[in-house]
Amino acid sequence: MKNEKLERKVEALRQGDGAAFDAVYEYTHRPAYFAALYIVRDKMHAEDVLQETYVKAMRSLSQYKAGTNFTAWICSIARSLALNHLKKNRREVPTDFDADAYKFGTEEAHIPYLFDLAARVLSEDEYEIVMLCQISGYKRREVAELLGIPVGTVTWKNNEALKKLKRALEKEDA
Amino acid sequence: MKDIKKMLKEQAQNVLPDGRVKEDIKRELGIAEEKRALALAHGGEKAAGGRRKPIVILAAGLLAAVLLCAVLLPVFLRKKPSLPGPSGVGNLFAEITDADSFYAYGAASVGALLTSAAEPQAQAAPRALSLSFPAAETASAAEDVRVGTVNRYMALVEGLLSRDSIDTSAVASEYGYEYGMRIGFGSLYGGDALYTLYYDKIFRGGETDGDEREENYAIAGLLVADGVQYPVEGNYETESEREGSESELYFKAYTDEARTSYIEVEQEYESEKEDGETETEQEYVYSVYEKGELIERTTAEYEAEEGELELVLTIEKDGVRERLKFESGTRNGESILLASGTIGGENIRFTVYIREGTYHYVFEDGSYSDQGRHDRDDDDDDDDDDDD
Repeated sequence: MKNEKLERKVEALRQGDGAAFDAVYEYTHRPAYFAALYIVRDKMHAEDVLQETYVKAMRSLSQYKAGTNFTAWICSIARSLALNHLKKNRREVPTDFDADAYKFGTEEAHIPYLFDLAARVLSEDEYEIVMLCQISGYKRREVAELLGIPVGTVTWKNNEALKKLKRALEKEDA
Repeated sequence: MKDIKKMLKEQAQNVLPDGRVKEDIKRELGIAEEKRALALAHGGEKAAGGRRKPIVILAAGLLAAVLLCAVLLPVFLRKKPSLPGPSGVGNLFAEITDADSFYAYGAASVGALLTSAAEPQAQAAPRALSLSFPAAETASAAEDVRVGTVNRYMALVEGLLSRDSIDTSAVASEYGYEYGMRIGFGSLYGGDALYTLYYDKIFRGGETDGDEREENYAIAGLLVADGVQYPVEGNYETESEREGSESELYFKAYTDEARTSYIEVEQEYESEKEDGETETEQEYVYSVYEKGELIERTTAEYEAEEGELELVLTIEKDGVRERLKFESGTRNGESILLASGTIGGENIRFTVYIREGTYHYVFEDGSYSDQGRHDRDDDDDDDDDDDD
């Protein structure tokens, strides 16, 4: 879906057309989900954040300025909610949640080790690009459009991130 | 790298969000209930709707098929593979299908960049009387930089937008290498840029396992461009299976003896089969390294817009991104390139007239500039000034 089409769907939603939600969600939920997962590092928590994100976004759709990249807007909400989620959990579990959450049983749904490693060694944008290119099935052109960056940057960061991840994996295996 | 990609893909389902999340959101927002309430309010409508659904889907499917045929058939009938598009643009990338064609393309395109880079600015035709971008107050030094940026890529752009495909022929091996290949890269003015590649092929493995096929071979050699020799190396590694294919390819030409400065071209290729259709995405990324540091990165890709193919270059340097679209054509019998994009944060549009020894840039406001063009296929190195 091109950004223009997404904008039209968002506008339809704003006008009260609930049927447009499916298209908006399908196109944007993975970037939002991975933005949250990078922070909370737990599938179930990331899904909770995803749900909160869309509920909040849909209820404050009037605040979205048309044409300013809806995906980026929804990702920023997801990040903010994920950070709140993390803070809340930190208060509840007095431990080093960032680094070793799973060791302390604070993770309810494990994410595979490779993904945990990716979240630890990659920068946020590298992580998001790898997840969108390699996991979510988006073409690099689509990722570029979603994130509002050039295709060349997506390609470059995707390759660099994969190399970085490979090196980290080899180091861990050694 | 492929292992990492494979591992990530294999575990994707354990990471991706559950489909129920969407339903939960819709429920919380009242979207699903809204539909149900509507159906019930019409009494009986729900049941009738259930029966009608397959008919509606069938009708929608038929309509979609008719529309698709109406839209796509004329395109397919008009467009033959590997022939130039309506504007005379040929998608050269479509012809790069194996290791040999990739190395030939790598040698030709890197050769074009190397010869452009080696062209001293002093050899450029004298600047026109005035050159100003729409922001007229901009200093001319800055304008020079902008035009210089474009000019360095013109040989590559010409090659990629030429009607001619890359022409290769075997030549006698030299310099102790096993193979020799002469490569012609088309130009819009006529004539070919010629580069010669002497190389050894290094087979690194390959296997076929059912639908999966892997191939990997490298080269090491020497590229001769405009009389200058550049050591080169490359690697071609592809993996294909029923659902699609992946490849990692690079071709690198060193510009210093320490081998810390070089121009590298990498192919980014993705092909996926989905619902019986193959979706292919291909682009070439050029990286210029000096003393081990990346100083410039350019992505070349074709973009189809309104039935016409355009070449898009995205140049990243010093933290700044320039994006230029090129389309070839003719004006008053002259070969031209129509270019548009952003340079220095400004939207610009200009026409490049491709003339012997000169690129003549004409901007929207009528201002112009002449820049040196590497002469091709002849020995005329005179810089006779043509006043425009």
